[in-house]
Amino acid sequence: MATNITVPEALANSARQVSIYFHKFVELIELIPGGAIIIRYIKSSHKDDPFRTVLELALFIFAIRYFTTKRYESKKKGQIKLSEREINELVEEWEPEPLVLPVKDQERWKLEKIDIITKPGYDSHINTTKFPNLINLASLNFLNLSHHPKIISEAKRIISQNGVGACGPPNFYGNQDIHINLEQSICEFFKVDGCVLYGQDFATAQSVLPSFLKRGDYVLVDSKCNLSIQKALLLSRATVTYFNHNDTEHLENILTEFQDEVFKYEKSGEISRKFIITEGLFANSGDLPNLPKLIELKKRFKFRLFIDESLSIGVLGKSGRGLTEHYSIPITDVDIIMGSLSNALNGTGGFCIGDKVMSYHQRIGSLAYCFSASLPAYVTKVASTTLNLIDQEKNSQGESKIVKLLQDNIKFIYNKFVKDSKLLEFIEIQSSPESSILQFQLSKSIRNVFEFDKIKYTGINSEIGIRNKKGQSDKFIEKYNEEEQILQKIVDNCKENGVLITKSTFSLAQEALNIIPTLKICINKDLTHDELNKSFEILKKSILLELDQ
Amino acid sequence: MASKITEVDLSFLSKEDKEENEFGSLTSQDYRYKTVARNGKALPDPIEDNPPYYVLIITYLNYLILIIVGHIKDFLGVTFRPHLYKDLLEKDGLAPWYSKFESFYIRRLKQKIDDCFAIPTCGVPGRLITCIDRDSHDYNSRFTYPGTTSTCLNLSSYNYLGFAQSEGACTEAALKSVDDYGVGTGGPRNTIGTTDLHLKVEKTIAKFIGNEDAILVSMGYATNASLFSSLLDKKCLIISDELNHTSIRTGVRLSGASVKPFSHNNMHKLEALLKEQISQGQPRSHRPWKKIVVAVEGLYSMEGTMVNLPKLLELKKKYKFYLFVDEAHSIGAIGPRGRGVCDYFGIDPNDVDILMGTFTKSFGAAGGYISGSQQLIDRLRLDLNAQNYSESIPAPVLAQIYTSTKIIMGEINPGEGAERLERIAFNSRYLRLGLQRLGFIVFGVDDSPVIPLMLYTPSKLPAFSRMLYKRKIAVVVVGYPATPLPSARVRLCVSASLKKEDIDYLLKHLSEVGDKLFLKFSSGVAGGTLDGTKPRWNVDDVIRETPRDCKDPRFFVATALEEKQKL
Repeated sequence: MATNITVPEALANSARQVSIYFHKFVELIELIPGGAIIIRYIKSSHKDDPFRTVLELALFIFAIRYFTTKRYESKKKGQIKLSEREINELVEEWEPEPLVLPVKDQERWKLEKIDIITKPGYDSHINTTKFPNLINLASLNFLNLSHHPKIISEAKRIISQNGVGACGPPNFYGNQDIHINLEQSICEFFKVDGCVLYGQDFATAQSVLPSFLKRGDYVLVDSKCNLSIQKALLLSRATVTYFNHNDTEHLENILTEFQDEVFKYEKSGEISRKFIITEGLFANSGDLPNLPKLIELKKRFKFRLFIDESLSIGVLGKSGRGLTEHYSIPITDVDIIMGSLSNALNGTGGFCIGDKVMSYHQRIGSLAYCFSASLPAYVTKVASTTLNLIDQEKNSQGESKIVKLLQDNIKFIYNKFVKDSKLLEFIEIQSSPESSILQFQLSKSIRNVFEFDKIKYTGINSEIGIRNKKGQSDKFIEKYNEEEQILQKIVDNCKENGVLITKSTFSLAQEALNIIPTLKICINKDLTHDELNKSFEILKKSILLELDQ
Repeated sequence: MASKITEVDLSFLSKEDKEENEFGSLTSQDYRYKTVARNGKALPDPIEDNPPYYVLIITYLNYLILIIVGHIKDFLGVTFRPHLYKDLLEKDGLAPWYSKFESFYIRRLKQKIDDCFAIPTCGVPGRLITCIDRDSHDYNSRFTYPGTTSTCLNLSSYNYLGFAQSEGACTEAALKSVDDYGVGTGGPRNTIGTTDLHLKVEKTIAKFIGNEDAILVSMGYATNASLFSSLLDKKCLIISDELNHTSIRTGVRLSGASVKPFSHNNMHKLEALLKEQISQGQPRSHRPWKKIVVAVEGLYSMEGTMVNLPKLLELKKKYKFYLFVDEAHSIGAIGPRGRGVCDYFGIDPNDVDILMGTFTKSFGAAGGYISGSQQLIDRLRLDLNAQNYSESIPAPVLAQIYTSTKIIMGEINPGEGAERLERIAFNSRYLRLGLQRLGFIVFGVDDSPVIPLMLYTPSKLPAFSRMLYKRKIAVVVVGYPATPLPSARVRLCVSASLKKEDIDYLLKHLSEVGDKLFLKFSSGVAGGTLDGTKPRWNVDDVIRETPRDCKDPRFFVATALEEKQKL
């Protein structure tokens, strides 16, 4: 039996109203271009499957809720809910550590032992506040041209023409004709297409590498690389693998492994950037990498090669053009070379050379170039004048006379050290025969006697490594301090007898690779054989005095 | 047409002309203004003028078109003319130096306006700067040099106090130091790079700033980049203003510390963040932070805004964080005695834990310093990697720093330092108020020598730069990514070496260019008028009235409001 169900008047009215508004709304949407299609789609889908409409509506609401609430929740995730009073109590309670730990009494000697130079001499002598007229075996200015009359007159001319500072970054009116000229002369000197200047040599690698290495790229690094490269890798976010120092076999093994396990699966067109990184003349040990082998490996495994030639330019090669000339390898085989303007080239700052595309990218992507002021104009003039001087006195075989003088001196003193078997009981030479910095550490037996070999200062599983991991602020290591003090005593003894040598200085807490302190003897071209002989004798005496007990 | 630049010979200039080009002589004693120290008073909340909505819409549209057209060109180019795009493609199994995506902005947007950047110059970047003209080919892919130069009014160099000179006490000192010390440095500070001159300059800088000791680094960028690694480790927190300079961000990343940014100069947000971080501690472990450093800049070089130091010190007392202030742009340029933001606010510099600054800007030299307590500096002398690994500052640069500092302090050529300080203060205020009255939107505080003039639309960047270059004015235009996407701007850096007449000239031309490029759309809330109407002064009136008015705080809206509140 059918019964009439009467819908209450009000309800029917409001339902009618809603349906009118709904239709008006639909009409409005149809006015929007493409709206009609959406409406038609919804209508037909509703007809086929009403449940789907409900589901999609629910999904739509969920999506809106998801996007509006996500940020708030992720921010507060993992936080403890605290009342205002508790927060205030915690703020009051909190006591920070001091900004820096005061310098301890045991390490204060380091501050006092910093030499203060009063007058760098015109020949290879130098004056400090405490000792006059020392033979200079400390300066990194290997070609000793800082007082060359041509350089002095050019520096003065530019200062009285351009002033001192450049007052702006290269992209904003800081790029002067003289800067551009230096870039051009460096390009001509090394026969490359592109050169970019930087304000400080230590900042160069730190800025160049991160501009090419992003997440997903691969780097293989020599495990004795300097701190600047270590810092660059920290900034780069690339996958970093270290290979044993100058061990091309180890490098090859790693490369093969990578080739089989990772690179094989890379699709063409989407391959990652891959670099091998090494130094021309290692700052921490003074030896050379096996460049021919590295070039072969890099070509075979499709890697690029970056070499930090801060110390080798002006020293290696018959005309001072660095590692590639030393091995007679075309410079274009190396993809990026960075050098320093401050060591052999008398100025301050650094530079990076390579092909045109790479250089262009640095001018936009390299932070220390874009966000830092240009070098003082006179510095760049001094550097280009130095390059001219190196090339000016070339003989018919293309050997530069001044570089030859330096190399002869290096050979001379190196031979003295290697031939002295008595001395070699106490010290162990780290550097190659070609290195302008003769570096040696205490010999194994001596380090054993003093128990320095019981503890690893830096690197993996080292004292500093553990402290960094634990977040300890105190980075003072008794044994390291002791070893440095022994070296300092040798340095002091030499100074008292008229020779200035140096020892390595490290920001120990920041070094991530294994280091052992060394003594450094920096050779320059103007030292006479007499002076070298004398220095050697004094050094030998100082070492024996300190260690032969 | 040469494809390479040769050294430009400028010796035809007479000594008088050269001096005047480097540092304009003061035409009237009226054109000086002594900055008033704020005696510990905090800055009022900044008032920011917003452009009309249609300007923003046009700006976004502008980018949209550039991006769409760029992608279409990329697609067509790579498909049909791959030889032109070989730098973007894999070659002999080597990945390209940079990916198509990474370099999109540079290739499709920046390269089109490359003629506005990296303009080669010669001579001294003083009051006038001599730019080497160049002709652009193939959308700036290469330039040739016709051999002519344009001498332009210089509003681009950071030559705040006008020490970029090749005549005068600084240059003489620099020349003498070449004879005494040579040009090179020989090595890092801790081995052989320390001369008696370094110690003398460090003492002078410490005295100038008012700290116990200071330490010098050979590059400003590297000062920040190497500092934080010696102070912080992963259990420390650094709270950094979102607009801090890249060098600070690099340094902080290298230190391994946790970083939390806070919105630019927003002290309320900073306080909330401090509360949260101190109470919550390290993430996950909730152990308390070992120490918290707040890093800010004294004067923000892209915004012209200044750190609210008094407020920050109030927070510092309550929350016990350490304060780092980068005074790269403010040292020398700000404060009645030119000693930076502490001087400007009348605050003891020893209340700030680490003060850092550079010598590139106000001192006309190069390098940077860190100054602070003896304990801090002693520690840094041993641990700062700039001390152990990088070259020290060479003697001529030291001589320039030493002499310019002594001039600012009034110990060499008494009166000269004061003149420079008063001229930069006058010039900055005159130009700022003048621009506001003309109807431009400018950012920053009243006394800032950095005046960002807002352009918004990216296509106005090259137009503005080229039009002004034709009128012999050198300016720096900046857009994304150095600024937020919609707020492209031109940054005017005022110098003490500018004459009042130079600023008249500048205002006249800016007004004309502003009309042509439709740039005068300020609403007047941030300055220019006192009655709330839109400021659209006639340029002649501006030049007549403003030199007098700019010395009166009443005409600067933010300060005027503050005065009113006091009454």
